Amino acid sequence: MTRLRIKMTRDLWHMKWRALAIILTLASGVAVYAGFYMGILSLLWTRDSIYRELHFADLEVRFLPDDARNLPDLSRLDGVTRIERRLVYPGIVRPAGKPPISVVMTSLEVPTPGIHSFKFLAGRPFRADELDAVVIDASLASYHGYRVGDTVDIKVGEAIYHRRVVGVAITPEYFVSTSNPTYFVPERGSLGFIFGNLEAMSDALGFTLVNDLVFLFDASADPALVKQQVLTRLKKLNIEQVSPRDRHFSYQYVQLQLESTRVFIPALVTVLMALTFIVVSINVSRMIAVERRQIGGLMALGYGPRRLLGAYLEASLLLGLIGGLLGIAFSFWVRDFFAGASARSMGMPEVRMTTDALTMLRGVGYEVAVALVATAIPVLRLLRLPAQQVIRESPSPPVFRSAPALRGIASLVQRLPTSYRYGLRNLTRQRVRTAVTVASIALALGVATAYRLSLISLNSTMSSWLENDRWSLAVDFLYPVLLERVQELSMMPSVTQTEPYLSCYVQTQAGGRVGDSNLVGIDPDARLINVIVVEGRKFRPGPEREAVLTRELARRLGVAVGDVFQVEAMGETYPVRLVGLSWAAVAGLSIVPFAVAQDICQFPDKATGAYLELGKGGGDDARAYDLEFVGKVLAKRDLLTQLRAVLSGTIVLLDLSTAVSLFVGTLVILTSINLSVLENERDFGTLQALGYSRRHIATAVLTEAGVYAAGAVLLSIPIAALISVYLNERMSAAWIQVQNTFSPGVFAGVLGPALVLIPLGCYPGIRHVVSRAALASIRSRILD
Amino acid sequence: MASGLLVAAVMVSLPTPAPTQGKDGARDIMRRVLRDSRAEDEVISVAMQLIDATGRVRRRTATFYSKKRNAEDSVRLIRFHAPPEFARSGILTIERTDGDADQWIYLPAYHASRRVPSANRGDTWMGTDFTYEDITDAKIERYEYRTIGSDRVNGVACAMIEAIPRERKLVEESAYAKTVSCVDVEQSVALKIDYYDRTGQVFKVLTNSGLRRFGKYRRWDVSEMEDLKRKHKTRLESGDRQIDRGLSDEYFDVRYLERGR
Repeated sequence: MTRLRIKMTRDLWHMKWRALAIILTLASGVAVYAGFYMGILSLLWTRDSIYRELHFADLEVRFLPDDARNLPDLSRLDGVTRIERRLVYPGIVRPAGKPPISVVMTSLEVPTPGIHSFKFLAGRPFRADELDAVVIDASLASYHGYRVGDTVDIKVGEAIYHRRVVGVAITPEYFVSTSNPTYFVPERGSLGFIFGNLEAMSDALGFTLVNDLVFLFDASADPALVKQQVLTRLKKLNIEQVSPRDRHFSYQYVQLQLESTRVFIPALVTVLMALTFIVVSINVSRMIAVERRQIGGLMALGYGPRRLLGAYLEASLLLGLIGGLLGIAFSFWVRDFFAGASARSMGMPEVRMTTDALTMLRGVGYEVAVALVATAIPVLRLLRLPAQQVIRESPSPPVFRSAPALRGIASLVQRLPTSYRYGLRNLTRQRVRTAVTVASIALALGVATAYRLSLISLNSTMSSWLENDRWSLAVDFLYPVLLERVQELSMMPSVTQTEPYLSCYVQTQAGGRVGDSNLVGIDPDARLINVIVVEGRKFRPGPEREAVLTRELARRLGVAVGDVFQVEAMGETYPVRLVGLSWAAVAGLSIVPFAVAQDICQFPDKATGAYLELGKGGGDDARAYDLEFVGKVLAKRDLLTQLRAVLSGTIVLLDLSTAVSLFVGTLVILTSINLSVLENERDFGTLQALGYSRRHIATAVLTEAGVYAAGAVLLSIPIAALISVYLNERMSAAWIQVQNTFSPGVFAGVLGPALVLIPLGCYPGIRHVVSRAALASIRSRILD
Repeated sequence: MASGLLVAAVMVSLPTPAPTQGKDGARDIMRRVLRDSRAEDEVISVAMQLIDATGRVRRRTATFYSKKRNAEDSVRLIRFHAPPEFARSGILTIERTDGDADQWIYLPAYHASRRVPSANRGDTWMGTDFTYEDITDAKIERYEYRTIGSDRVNGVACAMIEAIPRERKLVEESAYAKTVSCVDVEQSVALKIDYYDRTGQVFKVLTNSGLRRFGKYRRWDVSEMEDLKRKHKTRLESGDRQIDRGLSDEYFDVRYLERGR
């Protein structure tokens, strides 16, 4: 080991707590980077591996229910390895004393399907001769408590099927969101899935009714070509929906959610890297400040700048690698936490964690690179000076002597007791150090405050939606209901106004881009609901179909205001002009005039829900459930809770980032404040020798810390505001348009405790200073 | 000639003049059968029996509504009442003089009606042995007719009239390559119809029985369609029948179809 390396090792040992702070900061950055990205990879892996294992269909074709013998010949289709016929019908389950549940009842030709296969969590498949047995989807079990052995009455049209639950299973088809997509705010568990025996239907009907075909393709086949071939063969069917694997709702849902999250992660990582840079830079600056005479001596002895820089970079690399390794260990926890929370928010019944070495290496690489740059800059600034200047540099003159404007303040300071005066003197004698310390603490506080501000902004954005809306209840129907029946809601005693809306699931296309969308039709002159247009204008009734899209959908389609895009529904394609961009908590909305929705959804004179305005004393939400077509009643006062549930994945990301930034921020503060105290250790020894008590010395240190705290808190306010604006802007790009909210309560909530806790943070430094023998401190000064 | 013969079989039949002899005799006979099959309006309660190869019988009840719009066209609604799986289901047919009939099917489970493409005219509906084209009026000019002989059905003499679609589209879409109707020329009613597939084999047979008089109209009490390949039969028994009672037009639009009752 070279002497230089021995010296660096010794220096690192001397600053072991600061080194630990650097390591932990680097570890946090790596953990967040690798953890979030591996979380996303885990969720995608979960989706893809479940799809593969449970044979997710390569193509699904839904058509008007038909007698199986009317189906065209499907034999000898090149590239198709398996075909299954199913009958898929919407239905309703009415649990006693609870709101009704929309269900999808799928009747299967075989108990254990070879496409969209089952993974059983409980029970077993139904037997071929069991006509009254069904298997239920995991979400129906978890959200509504159905178990093996229960019975369930499913109303499909006018028929009621009394069925026994014999199994609970995961299916790849519905393994994510089980929300009713036509509901105003999709709520997990609002849509259940039940799988029964097609023979039971055939037995009752006297023929085999089917309306759904699922296909598995040969792995080597070209999916586009096979799909074309299949559709040519099926052209006589009344086709309603064609869903290749990558356009299937659950596939796209996971993709969309995770891509939105992915857009936000660089913002989190950038902020953490900035903190890493500050922490490393401060500590290295302090390290070389303390060691500058030795460095100057080494330079005089012939150690060139390159060797010295190399030694510091080597030390920084060592810390970086240790931090990286620790960060990798932490990243597994971040990954598990983030992926678990996101999976819950999407309704995924399981998560398969995956580890990606490349992602981890990239995280370590970025953090080490930041650490090396943060090390190189202060070291190079010192090494460019001649050796003599490095050794002899005198301390900066006190600011009061050279600043006449501050003489008044100086005279005031002179009247203070010695301990306070000494603390303030330390600050003014080393202005650069003071400024850097204040700035670094301010940045740490600012980041933590910014995350809190962004959370509050998100909440207040959601709350503000309600301010302009006059509706009291949003009532979602179990199925499209004739408008004349919607008027039955108006008969409720407290209802003063009713406005229907119509929603259906469509696919939008522009150029080669495709995006799933929930098309919502509302009256252009609606009074109860307000469409917030952030660009362009609101739609108008007229001969041309006009739409307002949520911004992320427009971005996905690559369309701008004025462009025409295609809406595909029930096998028909409609040109629609984009006239405005909006934002909403629920992604993928296409908002159109009510008449246009009726046209596209092919539900003339029908509505899928209604907004109700209640008069004074209104609020009896439960009465709406008396109407047999009402599926869900959402009171405006409960909307925020519902929206938070929808955005829970986002909120977890913010919460986790806030926690990490608080942790790193605390490290920055502790490092900065204690370094500052320790640098004056020898002065404090002198004071002790002169007879100053420990209390006096502690007061001096606390005065210094108090000034740091006050300065940092003041400076952190604009920093927090700027970072919050940046985070909100990134969040808006990823999800919803977040309004900047600078709540004084948030500033007070973070900065108030900081004012108290920062001085307390210097407790280890005080303890060290006052416990050290005065003689030892003075001796070290004389030796210097 | 297939289209409309179910209609003719179940709903209609007027006494007609003696058959025209000559080049277009067969066509004229069929035109009269169809013309005379249509009352101004008519409502019939129908009990259906679907009998499979094992002899198992599944029952359905329905009401057939029809109304004449003009000399050529009618509108028609079949509304099912039982079993529960089909209750409130319906099939609406609106004839168009200048083209194919528009047909919609409504299934309550879907909560919406869907148009039946003309390409599906040869498909059976609701598990019966009848096709969508069986419940539309035939466009006489779209077929070539000729009398190929005579026969007796249940002791009644009839002319055997062959009908072959002339339009390529119809040839492609129809389930029937040709039909041979056994027509009682005196009564202008079809006693029996044989349906041929594209291989030239008879695969379905419609047999009518129980001719009764309702005022100026004649109607069959029972019509039975048998699918010879599947060994499956659909038997229609007419119950209560109301003719020319001034049926409202409101029965014959998609909105009423979707209202379901």
